[in-house]
Amino acid sequence: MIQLDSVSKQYGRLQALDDISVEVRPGAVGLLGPNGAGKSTLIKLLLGLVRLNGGSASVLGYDVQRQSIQVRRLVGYMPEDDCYFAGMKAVESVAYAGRLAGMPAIAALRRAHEVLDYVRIGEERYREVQTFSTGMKQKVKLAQALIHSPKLVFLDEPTSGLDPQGRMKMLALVRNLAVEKGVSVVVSTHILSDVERCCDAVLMLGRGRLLAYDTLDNLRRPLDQSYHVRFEGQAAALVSALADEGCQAEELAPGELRVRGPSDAVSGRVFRSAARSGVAVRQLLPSRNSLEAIFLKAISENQHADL
Amino acid sequence: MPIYEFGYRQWHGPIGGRLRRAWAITAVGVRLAWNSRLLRRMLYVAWTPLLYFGPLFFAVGSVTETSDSRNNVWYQMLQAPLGPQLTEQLSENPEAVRPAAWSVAFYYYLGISQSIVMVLVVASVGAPLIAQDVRSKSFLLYFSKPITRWDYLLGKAGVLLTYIFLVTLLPALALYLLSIGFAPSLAALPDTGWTVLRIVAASAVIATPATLLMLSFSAVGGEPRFASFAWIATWFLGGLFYAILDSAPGLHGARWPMLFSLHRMTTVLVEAIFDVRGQLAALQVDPVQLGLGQPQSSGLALAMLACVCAICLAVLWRRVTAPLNV
Repeated sequence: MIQLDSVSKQYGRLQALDDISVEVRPGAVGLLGPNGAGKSTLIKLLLGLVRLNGGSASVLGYDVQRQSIQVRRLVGYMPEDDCYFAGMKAVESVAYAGRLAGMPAIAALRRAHEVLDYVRIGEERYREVQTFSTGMKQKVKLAQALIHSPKLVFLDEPTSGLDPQGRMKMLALVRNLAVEKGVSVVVSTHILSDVERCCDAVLMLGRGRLLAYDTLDNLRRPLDQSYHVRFEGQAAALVSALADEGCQAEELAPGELRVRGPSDAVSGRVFRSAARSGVAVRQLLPSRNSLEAIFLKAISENQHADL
Repeated sequence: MPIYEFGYRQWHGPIGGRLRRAWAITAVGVRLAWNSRLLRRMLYVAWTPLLYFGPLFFAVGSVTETSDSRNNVWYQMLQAPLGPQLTEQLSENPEAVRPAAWSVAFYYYLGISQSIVMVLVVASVGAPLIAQDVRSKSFLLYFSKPITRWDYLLGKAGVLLTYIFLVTLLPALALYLLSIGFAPSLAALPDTGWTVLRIVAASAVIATPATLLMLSFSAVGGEPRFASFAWIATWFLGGLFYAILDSAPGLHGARWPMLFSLHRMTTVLVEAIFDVRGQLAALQVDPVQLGLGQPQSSGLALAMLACVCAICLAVLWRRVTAPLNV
């Protein structure tokens, strides 16, 4: 779907993207990174809106530098900024986006109504966009991105400025697009839980560099054999008993431990230790890395590499 | 059925080319501008000079028919715009003088009357065209679609050109048809055949620099009021400066002062397009009687206007995508 080969981009002395090479597969992909990581630059670059300083990039088989018009025919983009066509009602605005994509006027208007139905904008579609709340504007921008039936949509901070309910609805729409409608989605955000909620894979950027790209399942898979234990009783007694069994225990919260040990029979050692220390085990699950932990680890490694 | 299943499906219709996309920008821009009541009133006002020029052409036809009577009211009416010499020759030899009389009348109509009306229309329509997009950050919405800078600029220019032609080309063509209708015979048609092409060329000369300059102001400022002010100031202050220089001792008739005035350069070119001086010279009529003033170099005016257009294009080319490069 997206192929980057040693892609670099500089703004003056600022290295916005630094030697990024990756092949992104279709599906819902989270483009994750802290502010200033280069996410928006990467999206603009993939749309052919900014020029590369080095390397090459292609989207859906088209070179983003030489065939940017073909790329934009097949791709939708929902910008992060609060942007709109001034003086237009929502339905006119979405239909106009369709006409800009080359759709005939009547077809664009019909399609605008369909897409506005999809993003759940009702009678408000006959109001001017600049009078809308942030959440409504986000929906209109999504409709504008979808009007010409793109195969891939870039969503730049789609939940920015939304209340929790609006955020949930937006993420549900994004997930629905990717799963039900067969539209590949790249969601750029710095909110980890958004990615966890609607994406299958994650591409992490930090200071213009590629930190990681893999499926969420692979990224979350722990590197060592560890278990998450919830219990009732004295934590100190359990930790001591586990140490006697050859396991390391790390207290995550009151009543919660992460236990690492020899790859075989950790669960048996936990139950034996609990029995000896008089602690009741309520839950025992194989540990999974949280996205936050992965993200912080990747950023930390990147910073250490710089030093 | 999933809760979000509200009509979305893939769309597989035909996708148009670049012209359709530029046309979409023009069509929507024209419609949005038309919403302004002020502009609509301006357009009505812009057509009012026809109330003067229509009877003028009727007078040309009437004098031709009644050339024996110099006390005719139409003959008297023509004295002011055409001057006594040309009016007299018109009454004596209508067939030969008619093209010159029409050229003078169209020069006044397009070069003087409509090019001034056009300034206000351009200020009203053109100022928000790009400035509004800068303010509402809609560049990202435009350029995320398959359009190029040229498509965008062509579309925006189309909006301005539509309204400029609505106050120059269209009424001038209407005036031409009116003149043919008022002419005593159909011989007027072949005699003035080139007039249509001259009207088109003169309208293009008025419209092109005005469009590019206004769009540049609109792109640079990001504020419609600034763009309007800059445009009107350039037009009128330039004209004022030219008038001051031209009336200064030792500078009267000099070639370079007109370079300060967009209006003067435009009228010089319109004058050349209608070959006003050439036709008057053939009839041995003094152009000063018609208020044409000293002859100016149309080549110099054309070169200067071409430079202005080139600079405006360069500014537009740079400014239009500047907001994307951050």
